[in-house]
Amino acid sequence: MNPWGPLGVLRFELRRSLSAGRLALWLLVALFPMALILLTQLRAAQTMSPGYSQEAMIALLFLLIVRVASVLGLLLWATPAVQSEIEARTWLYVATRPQGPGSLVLGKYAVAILWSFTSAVAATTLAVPVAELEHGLRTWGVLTALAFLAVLAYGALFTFIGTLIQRRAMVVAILYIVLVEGALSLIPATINRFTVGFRLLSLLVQWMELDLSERSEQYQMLFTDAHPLTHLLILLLYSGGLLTAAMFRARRGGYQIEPED
Amino acid sequence: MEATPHAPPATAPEPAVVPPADVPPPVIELERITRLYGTVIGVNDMTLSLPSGAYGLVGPNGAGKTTLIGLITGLLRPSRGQVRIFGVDPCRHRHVLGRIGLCPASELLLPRTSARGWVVEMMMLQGYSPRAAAERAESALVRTGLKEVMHRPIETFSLGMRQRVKLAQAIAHEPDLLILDEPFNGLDPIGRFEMTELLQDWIGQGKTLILASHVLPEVEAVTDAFLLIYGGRLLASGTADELRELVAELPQQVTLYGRDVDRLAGRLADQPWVDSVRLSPDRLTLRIEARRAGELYRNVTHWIGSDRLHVERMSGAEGELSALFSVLTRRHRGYAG
Repeated sequence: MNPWGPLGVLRFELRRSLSAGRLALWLLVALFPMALILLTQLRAAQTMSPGYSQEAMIALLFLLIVRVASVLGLLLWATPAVQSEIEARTWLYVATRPQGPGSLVLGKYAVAILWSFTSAVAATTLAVPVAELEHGLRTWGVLTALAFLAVLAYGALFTFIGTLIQRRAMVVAILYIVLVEGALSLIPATINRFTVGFRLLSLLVQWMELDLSERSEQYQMLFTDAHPLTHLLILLLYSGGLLTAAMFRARRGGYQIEPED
Repeated sequence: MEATPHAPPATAPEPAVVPPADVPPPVIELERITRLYGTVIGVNDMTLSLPSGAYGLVGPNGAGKTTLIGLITGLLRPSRGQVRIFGVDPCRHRHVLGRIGLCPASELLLPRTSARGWVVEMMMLQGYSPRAAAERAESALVRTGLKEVMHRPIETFSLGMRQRVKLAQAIAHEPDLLILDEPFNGLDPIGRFEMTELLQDWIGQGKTLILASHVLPEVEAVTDAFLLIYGGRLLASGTADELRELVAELPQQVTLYGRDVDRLAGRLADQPWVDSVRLSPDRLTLRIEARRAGELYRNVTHWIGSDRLHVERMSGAEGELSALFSVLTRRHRGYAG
């Protein structure tokens, strides 16, 4: 594929996205993990309780940044990839270019990753120091790497949903995240291995060298000690596969644009 | 349909013929294409072969023009039949889309975007590098008269200026086939004149143009080759004169006004091509339903001259293309003939 198409979309969308509303949203996503960590610590101080353990705090940061903050940005950026073009009545112009639909999908995916990952990095940078961890820098590095993998995988998933379902794609994406990535990944059974969350959690446990050997057997089924490269490969294949499917679907077109003449 | 400098013959509904290897294929070939939307027919069993030239795609709203354009540009797949553009299927061989420039009818709703920025993006989607895309975009925007305002947001543009932006993105990559869907929408008289000039210049370069519109005089100002579409079917194709000849063989209603029309009634009553003759009580208006309009016009004008009859006015004469269309449409609906 000619690289200028996706680059053109990336450049165009980045310029358009620099609005007060979008920037406020980016800031909100970047700030809320830190705000929640602060609140938990404030509450612990008020009740004179010891607060979260190091492991629990890392898990909380993982949940807030990798599983929530990354997803929030992507929902807004990746899911409406095609629908926003149809609403702006620009889909026809894109779809009638030789590599238009594929370039649009790739370009918008890149924009979604850029916005979501930068907000996740900002969230990590703000929240980790507040969490007062022993290995703050290492935690920052691991969470940043996991956030990157999360936006790659979830971005591809949401882009695919956005090309597959023309209307209410965001609702479907939220339902998928809640039911599959939320509920299914926490079921201690083989089925949770099919989720992105399972791979991310396994990488967190390994990269942070969390000792969870004393936990129950069921708890230990929420992650695996397979080599990190296995997880990375699976996540990359997952992202690449969904992105390819999204490009194929967009190229096939057939979206309802307006009342037909 | 005769070949004209602007528009070589269009054939319909004959099946498309495969040309010899050294002859370039027709620009557009449709072979018995049908497009269904559920149970609704958008285009119905249409066969057409168009060589390079300029054509007006004319039909009322809902006739199937946009569906046909969607099929030509690979946006829609035919439910049945084959579409070939420059000899290949645009859905399978998407590279051919690079030779097409499309200016759709729908309004642009792009906030926070300059005309230049958007056309540059379109050119990059076409495969041009940022520099080449910028050069082409600027050149096209100058050509469409937007030189001074190309950096302004599109949302601040008038409807006519937005039409020009749409046209700019369609011509910026110098396509061989330009398709415009209702390009005169929103243009003021000066804008219409300029658009017409620009399109005539385009045709003068020997490139192919499909101009879809439901306003006939706008099309007539650009080309005299027409494709008349209604109900998803191609009703007729040809030059305006050829279509008038065609209509001459169709049933028509004609009304004559004047003090001697009663004398014409007597002559008309015996003619085999006349279905009915109705004279008003004041004997000043004569309404004729003729099976073959051509015969009617030839004979009536002859009798008026030979008998020195006083006839003030004749209405329903199909001299205007709009009237031609009305007759063809009525025929298609089964109201006449």
